[in-house]
Amino acid sequence: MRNRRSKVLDDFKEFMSPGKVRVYRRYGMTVVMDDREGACFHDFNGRRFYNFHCNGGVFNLGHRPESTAKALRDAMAAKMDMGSWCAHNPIRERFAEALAATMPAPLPRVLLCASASDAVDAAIRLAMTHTKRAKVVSAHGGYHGSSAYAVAAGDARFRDPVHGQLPGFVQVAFGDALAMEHEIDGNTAAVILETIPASYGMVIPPDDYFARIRAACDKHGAIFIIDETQTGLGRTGKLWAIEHWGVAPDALICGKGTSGGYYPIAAACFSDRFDATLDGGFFHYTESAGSDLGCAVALRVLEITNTPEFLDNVLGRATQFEGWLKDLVKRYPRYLHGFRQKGMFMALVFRDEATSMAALKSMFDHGVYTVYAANDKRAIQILPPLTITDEEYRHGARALDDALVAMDRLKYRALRAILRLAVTSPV
Amino acid sequence: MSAQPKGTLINPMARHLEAIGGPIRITHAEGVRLYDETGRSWIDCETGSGIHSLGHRSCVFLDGDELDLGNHHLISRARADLAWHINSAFQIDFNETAANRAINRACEILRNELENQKPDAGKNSKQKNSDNKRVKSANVREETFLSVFNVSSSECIDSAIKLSRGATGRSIILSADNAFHGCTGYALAASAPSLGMAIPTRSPNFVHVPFGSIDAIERKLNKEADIAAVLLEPLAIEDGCKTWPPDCLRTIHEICRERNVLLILDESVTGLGRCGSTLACTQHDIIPDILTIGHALGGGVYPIYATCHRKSLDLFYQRNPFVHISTFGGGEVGCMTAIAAINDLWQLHEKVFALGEGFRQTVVEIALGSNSVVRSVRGVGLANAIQFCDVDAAEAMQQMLFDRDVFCRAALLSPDTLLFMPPLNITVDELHEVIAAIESSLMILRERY
Repeated sequence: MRNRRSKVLDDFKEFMSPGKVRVYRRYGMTVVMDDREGACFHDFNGRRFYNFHCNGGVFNLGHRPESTAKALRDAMAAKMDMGSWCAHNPIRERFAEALAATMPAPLPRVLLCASASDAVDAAIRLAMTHTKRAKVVSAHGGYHGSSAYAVAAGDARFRDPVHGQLPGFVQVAFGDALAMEHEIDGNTAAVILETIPASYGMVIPPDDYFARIRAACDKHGAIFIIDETQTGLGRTGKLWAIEHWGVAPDALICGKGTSGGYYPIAAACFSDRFDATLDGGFFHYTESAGSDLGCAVALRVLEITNTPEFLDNVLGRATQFEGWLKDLVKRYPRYLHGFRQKGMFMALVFRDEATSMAALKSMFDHGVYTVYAANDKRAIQILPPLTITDEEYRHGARALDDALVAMDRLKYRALRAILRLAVTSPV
Repeated sequence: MSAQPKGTLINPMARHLEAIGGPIRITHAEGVRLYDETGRSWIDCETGSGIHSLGHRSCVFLDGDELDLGNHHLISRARADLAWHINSAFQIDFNETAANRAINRACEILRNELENQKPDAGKNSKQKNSDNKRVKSANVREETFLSVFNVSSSECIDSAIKLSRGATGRSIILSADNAFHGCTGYALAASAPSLGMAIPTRSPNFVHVPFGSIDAIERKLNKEADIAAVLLEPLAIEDGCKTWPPDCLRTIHEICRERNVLLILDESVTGLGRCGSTLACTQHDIIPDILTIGHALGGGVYPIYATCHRKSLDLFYQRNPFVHISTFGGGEVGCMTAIAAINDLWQLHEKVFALGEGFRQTVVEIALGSNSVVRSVRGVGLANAIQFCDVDAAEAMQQMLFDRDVFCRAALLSPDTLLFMPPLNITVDELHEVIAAIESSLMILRERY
């Protein structure tokens, strides 16, 4: 096994990313995922990890959920494949109908996409085309994906190295409605925001935040796009997080969780205010988008997540986590500043970057896999599967607790000291 | 929750095809055929722009393996394996080209030497030496190509452009004025300006040059110092499979190299066998700096695409290892399928070449008597196009082909041209069915015009 593992590391270094291998090695955080199930995966060297990141929602239903695997197998048995981007398999229509029916506002026009980045680019372009304006307002610390507009609307951290700035794209502080109201004007095509920005450490915006943005958009005729890639599909205890704020966006992006852990698919839903533009020649063709098999999977994900039982279970689990997080903050005030939470969308906020980084390493060493928030590294994301079992919760929480206890050890104290001097680290 | 209006799909292409009587409600597919609910079938000459290059359902996945999407950040065995296979497929292709190149050069040297034996020659000796050097270098293994995985061809282009800008520190991208690279921000900006629609949606720092013009590219390169890369398709598929004049791409490649400008080739359609070789660029005897491949990679069952760059460009990623994130890119369940697809596609090259030649020759023969209707027949391998005298003729033809159980579509940028991109493992008999349908449709079309 060990030989196989080092062969993987060599191949990955040689044919994919020497940079990643070097960073992971430097921190002693190399992991090569082998078998996986539910909330856990194993490294090839036998080490077990509790997945408290779940790729930001891809594994909302855990690793290799039987439900979506069966949906895939059934679809394949029914002789489906990716289908064609210029034809409609009825299953695409069925998914579009089912998705639109769950929307927190009337957003009946559904664009199937290959990834949420793809959907973000489509939504921004549609807003620009529809309003004939070029200004797009988003928030500092946001992350919308890796395609051009998504990068331009995201935080400078991912934008600057690739010269991704585009004219017309401006950012204001997240959660600051006044700054947003100030920036939205008659030239604004769109406002795009994550309901709760994961890469910014799950900052929960004020209660009136989205309502005020909605009002400002209405006042100036701007389009309000909400990105629910990470917060959607039950993560926060409601199917879509924006329901907590009771605000109706003009467009909603979903992704990650739609994959059911298996199959790349995302979507953007639009209100009928775009009808004239959509019917007037606008197109967004992505050949690999909304594959027939993907629709079969995503349809099953909706069937599972859009039930009161599922959402109640998420809320119940969230209460359990809330108690635990409170307890952690109380017990480790030397490291922890606090926590942020909306349902199962959680982050532990540490005193400073060096502490959170050392804690991340300690969690890794104790068998909890997660990542820090890329745009505010003091926060570590806590995103276990929504279907986590009592036993998995107990063990995972225990491991994380042990990791924080271990922070007093010389190893992590030294690491913290070194990191304080030079903070560079893995995602 | 209040009652919602019924959700409908946004897909103008499907709507257009429906309007002209095309089969849009496909329920399942097998081999080269698409089926609707009633059991009626069509031969798929559209294949989702090459996604179904191995036909329908010839690839399986999720078959007993213990994988899921995996984690996009982490080191992954499945992705490393696939990246290894992609590089190997490239290297074999490069080496074949290198071998051909060596043979060509050897012939040239021989010719030169024969010339030199003539009494008035001798001044060519310098040329001869440099040729000798090139023969030797042709045997040297090419640089390794590293893969970055994505889920769509347009994201591959976006990531390629990001890489070229990050690696060179420059920002302008030159591209052809008849290209279609996709619909995400950069990909669309690099595509034909006519596709750009509303002006505000255009990204800056994109400059277009006429397709096939070396001069235009050279002029732009001389004028602008801030050019990061030239982005081209080896075959302008969506402009009706327009091919580059011989040696044109090679000259452009040389010009780029002289000026240290990167060459990005979009091989998402042409790559992996569509043109009869793993990469279409090797037919032009060039190896670009960044390549995108993909439609055929997922075997028609899984979206998986790759942007491949020369190892020497990887410095940028080494400095910013996590700068390009694609959550779904290179999903582990899809990697095994992709490896199988590369191997299957690999065995089809010669056949694709022969079938393509045969297709074009036969269609030209059929069309001979109908010069006024068919303007030209173009293509490489099994990426072919028939250009008609006008859009109406193309549309009428398309309708008649639908009636004759052939599914095809018009090129996005030239609606007077129909594209024929059947699965690469189409049999001769099946291809003859397509040709027969074309023939009988043309007969009717000719009467109308």
